[in-house]
Amino acid sequence: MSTLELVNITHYYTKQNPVLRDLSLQVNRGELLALLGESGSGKTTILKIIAGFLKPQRGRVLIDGEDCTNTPPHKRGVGIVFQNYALFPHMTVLGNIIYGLKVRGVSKFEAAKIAMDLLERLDIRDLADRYPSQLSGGQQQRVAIARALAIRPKILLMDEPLSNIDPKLRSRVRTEIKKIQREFEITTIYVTHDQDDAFEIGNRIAILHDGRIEKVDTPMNILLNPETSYVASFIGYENIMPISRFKEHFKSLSKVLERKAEEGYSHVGIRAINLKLSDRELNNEEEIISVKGRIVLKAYRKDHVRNIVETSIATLEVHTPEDHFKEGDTVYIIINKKDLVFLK
Amino acid sequence: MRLVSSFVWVLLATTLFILLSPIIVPLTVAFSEREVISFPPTGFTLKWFYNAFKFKSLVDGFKLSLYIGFAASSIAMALSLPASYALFKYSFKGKSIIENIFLAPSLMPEIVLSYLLLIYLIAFARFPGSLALLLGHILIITPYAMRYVYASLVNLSKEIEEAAVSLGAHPVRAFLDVVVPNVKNGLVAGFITSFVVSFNAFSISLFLSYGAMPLPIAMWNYLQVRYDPTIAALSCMLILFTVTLTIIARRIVSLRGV
Repeated sequence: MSTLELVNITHYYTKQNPVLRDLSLQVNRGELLALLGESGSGKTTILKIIAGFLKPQRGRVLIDGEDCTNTPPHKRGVGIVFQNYALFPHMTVLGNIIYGLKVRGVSKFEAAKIAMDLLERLDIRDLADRYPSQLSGGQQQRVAIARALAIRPKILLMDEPLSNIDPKLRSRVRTEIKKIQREFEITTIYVTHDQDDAFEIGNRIAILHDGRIEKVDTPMNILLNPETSYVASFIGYENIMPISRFKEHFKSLSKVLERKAEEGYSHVGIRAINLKLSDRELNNEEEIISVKGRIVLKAYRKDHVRNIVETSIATLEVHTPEDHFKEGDTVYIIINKKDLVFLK
Repeated sequence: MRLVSSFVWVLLATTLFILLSPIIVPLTVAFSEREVISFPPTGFTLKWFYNAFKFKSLVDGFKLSLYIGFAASSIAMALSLPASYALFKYSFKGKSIIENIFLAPSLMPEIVLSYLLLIYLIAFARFPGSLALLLGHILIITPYAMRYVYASLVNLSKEIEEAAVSLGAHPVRAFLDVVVPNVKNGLVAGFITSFVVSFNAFSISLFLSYGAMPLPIAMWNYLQVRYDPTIAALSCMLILFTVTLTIIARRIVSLRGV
């Protein structure tokens, strides 16, 4: 098990517009870190820098504390599972898995033994003699994982591994990847643009924004305390509004809000599932506040109703398990104070 | 139903007849014993086939066409591989325009190209005839060569080289191990196809051959003076030759479903 450290990495294709600005990131031994970022946020650039295909203009890459910024990619020992798997089409599954061992000079017998063991553990033994074109997306992915693991890499990089998997199967594949990662105890960076993906898979999530790591933490901590409005909106906070609008409306909160504003917070966020709807005003100054509004739109999801409610503070989204109100109804949105999250 | 299906068969047979009869019927005169071309053929003989080998201009033309076809195809392949690889590997502005220029053999009528090359290579640049001829052939066949080589790369994942390198292969080895095997068929098929195109090229050879004559021109000259079935016999052999080559090229390509 290895550690990976990116130290003050800056990389640009054009000087005015750096892709990565002074980015630092630490990945712990045996950890599965989800690197979450929008498309164009520099995820692929980071992967290429870790793998050694790109040399950053500034900064260092450390594997197990050793500087390998200048080590060429074929000597780095970083396994990659590519987005489109990049299997060698002219080799069988076995040939693909053995390739890395062959170029490392491992004997044929030894290589075949390692490959068969991997095929067995990944449950794809029957596929050994097939060609990649004869495999389904999911099978190709397993082969790609097996091929990367065969060389016993120090670090495993996975680039959007679910993008070619049927949406219905994604959750299952995530569980499988997690199991494999744990079983092989390999430090893994899992790149994705999909927050559900990141939350379900990662021991920790690193959110990439504007060339920096905006936040690294466990999924639960990020959800409870996103800290910035960018992170909050990216991970799916439906309601984010400026503190000032809030202050005008809730006199009872003004002291707290003022203090938060002084501490540098500018927005208040609240998740739609934490809001409730009622036909009566409910105000218990200690815990609960409410605001009057009108339902302008309703939409149904499998496990809840999305209510879009226009209020004097902002248009808020409220998810309710029941379907008590009609579009056009006047309602009160009940807010529990402890669910309010302050954002910078 | 039965009626419809037999109607379809009749249509198919008619189409085949329309397509093939103008080729097959005149070729029967190659076996005719009479000194002049006439139909229906009389008797059966192979003497016109022997005759084709007796004329030095035809034999020399055949050899020259082989040489030119071989040389031009080799050079076209040597140009196509790096060009296709660059198009495969990198994306840049105007890539699709370049792709189209490379891949559209009929972009310019061969006669126009021949005329332009005549002016450029022979009148302006004063190239020796054989070099001009070779250059002209390279120009017309490179798009065909490109087509096969590029087609064999297009379906390949751009990352397979990176995958090989990440597994520990030196970049040169990665190229040899994972790119070359996948274009090998394209290279062979492209070579054969461009050879056939070069072998059959008429107007470019007519315009640019001074002194030495490639086979199509030699045949043309022969026909100007003689009217016996020798050329028909030669045509039979040429059809067999190019069809065989084309079938080989097709087989090679379809093996991997490129």
